[in-house]
Amino acid sequence: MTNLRKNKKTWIINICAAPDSELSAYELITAGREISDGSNESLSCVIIGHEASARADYFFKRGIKKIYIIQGEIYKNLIEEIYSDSLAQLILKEKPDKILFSAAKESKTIAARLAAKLNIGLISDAIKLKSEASGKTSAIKPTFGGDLMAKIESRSNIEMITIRAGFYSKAQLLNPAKNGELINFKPDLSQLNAKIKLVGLSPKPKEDDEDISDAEIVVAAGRGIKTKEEFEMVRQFSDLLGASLGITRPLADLGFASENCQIGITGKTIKPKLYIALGISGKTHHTQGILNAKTIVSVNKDANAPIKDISDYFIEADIKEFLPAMIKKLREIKGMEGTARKS
Amino acid sequence: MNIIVCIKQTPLTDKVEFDSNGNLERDNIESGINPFDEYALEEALKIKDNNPETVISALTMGPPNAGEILRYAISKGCNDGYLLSDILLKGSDTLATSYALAKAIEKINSITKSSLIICGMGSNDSDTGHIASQLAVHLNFPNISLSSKVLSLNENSIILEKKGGQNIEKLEMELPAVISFEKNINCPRLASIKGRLKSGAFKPVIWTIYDIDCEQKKIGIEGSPTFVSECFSPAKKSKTSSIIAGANIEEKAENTAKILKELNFI
Ligand SMILES: Cc1cc2nc3c(=O)[nH]c(=O)nc-3n(C[C@H](O)[C@H](O)[C@H](O)COP(=O)(O)OP(=O)(O)OC[C@H]3O[C@@H](n4cnc5c(N)ncnc54)[C@H](O)[C@@H]3O)c2cc1C
Repeated sequence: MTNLRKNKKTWIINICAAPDSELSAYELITAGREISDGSNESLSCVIIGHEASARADYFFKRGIKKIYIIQGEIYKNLIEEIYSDSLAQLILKEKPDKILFSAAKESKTIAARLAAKLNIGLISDAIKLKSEASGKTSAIKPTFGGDLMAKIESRSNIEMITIRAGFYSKAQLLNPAKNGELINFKPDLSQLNAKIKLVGLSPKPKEDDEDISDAEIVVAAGRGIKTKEEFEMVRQFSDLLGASLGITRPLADLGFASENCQIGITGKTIKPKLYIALGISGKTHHTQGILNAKTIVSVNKDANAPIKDISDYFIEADIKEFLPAMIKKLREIKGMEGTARKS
Repeated sequence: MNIIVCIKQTPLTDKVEFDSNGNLERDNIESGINPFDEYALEEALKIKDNNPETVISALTMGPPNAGEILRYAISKGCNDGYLLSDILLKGSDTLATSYALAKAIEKINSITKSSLIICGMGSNDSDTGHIASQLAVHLNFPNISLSSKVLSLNENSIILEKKGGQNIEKLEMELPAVISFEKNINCPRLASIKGRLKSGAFKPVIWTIYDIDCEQKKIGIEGSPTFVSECFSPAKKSKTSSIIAGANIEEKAENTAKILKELNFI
């Protein structure tokens, strides 16, 4: 098996302008290592972006030895055509065997365009990769919103796979590679007849809710929370624990908090040390996002709620009664009895 | 202006069930329009609201009963509906699907030219989000994915808003073009009574692969470089949970706090 894996070139693609691209790249390094033969030659990285070379060090420091840089003004904005044409030229020149992208939706659209252009297969949203005896890589991906897992393979000579965030650990800092190689690639974009042009730009408003992907403690609310007042109690409880706030999709749809806090198959994948589920039934769509939570505590008025089956601790209680009692208790412990509530 | 909206029939996945062997019970699955397509459809209908002479065609590839989502699209205000349905399309991955859809679009365009091809951001069953980008390659049209708003539109070009990396971009694109829209960007309308009446008598145009002039080696299983080699139910991480009990709610809270303290969280 290792013989067949030998001499295969695996690439990870880092698109600087895509949100979360830096962190996802570290996970891609881990995934890439897992399917390559472990030699220094086998795993390389392509950084594409306005100031791509500024990122090279991040990758050298994590043990990557060969980095391709595609950079320039033209990559400032995420125009798929420009990105996919540039990457296609480098791929045709260097002929890697396996290419990994982040499955963030912005990267996926570029990968999709690239795959169609090169007429090769694209496997999306893998949460786990496996090396097959044939030397090929298979990918496990959830379908039907997580109710079913599919193992997907590609017949193409170049295997392209996008990988969901949160399922691989981030590559750790190592002693930087000594003889790291930086290769600048200048694609020929003269054939590109730019039918798209940027006519305006405004800064994205800051998301009011923090990113929960790396939070240590997450308190999450589900449809057991029915009013703004109850949700406010969830916030207080969460603040008292120093936790980050998460929600299920119905609550995101109802606008209780931003979609950024949604946990699950169409939201965030989290890996906190403690996860507290308040009024959450435990549908697969949601629980797929908390598979890596260390300790799960759930509160539900239904003693048979499916969330119980994945919980370490279960409390049968009505949220409307449990939260005030819990907030009171925590305030006592923290010696804040009677003090003004934290807003 | 003519617009084609690509929609997909997908299972209402909340209701997916498995038999005792862990196999999907396909017979019992209720289907409907992919929820992400609702937003794309609404964007097309908004264009028609402002320019009543706009003609919207809904296009879907799927099993024979997928005609029902075309009927739904008609009830909302689309003018006509095309169903591409053929057993030979079974097993198509996104590359093959986008190729077949592109061929169907070319066929519609050979009758009347469309300026806009509109898609949803992805589907809720396979969840790839590839189709719009890949359609654009097959059609050789420019494309903007994941747009959040139409800012302006004329015969030759469209200006779209897109939430890019750090910025909100305003992008102008020449027509004809392919666009995919983000979810939750509008409030999809309900069908009017008039629309519903109209959709009652609706019959989709049904095409097989022989109607769309496609190369057979590029569709179905043969034309799909990716394939599912195995399906299984996700491993359920089953735990025996400890019950935190108490005679009343105060006691339950107290016991919960105790445990959180033992675990060093407070
Ligand atoms: C394609 C697709 C993707 C999806 N992706 C996601 C996703 O990413 N994330 C996600 O969360 N969902 C997702 N969903 C939705 C998912 O299927 C479930 O509908 C959702 O997770 C249920 O959320 P919930 O547990 O908050 O609500 P419910 O299932 O309605 O559960 C509410 C729970 O609260 C309990 N409860 C009610 N009142 C009280 C009370 N007073 N005190 C205590 N307990 C109470 C009930 O017993 C019940 O267990 C997706 C669905 C689809 C179709």
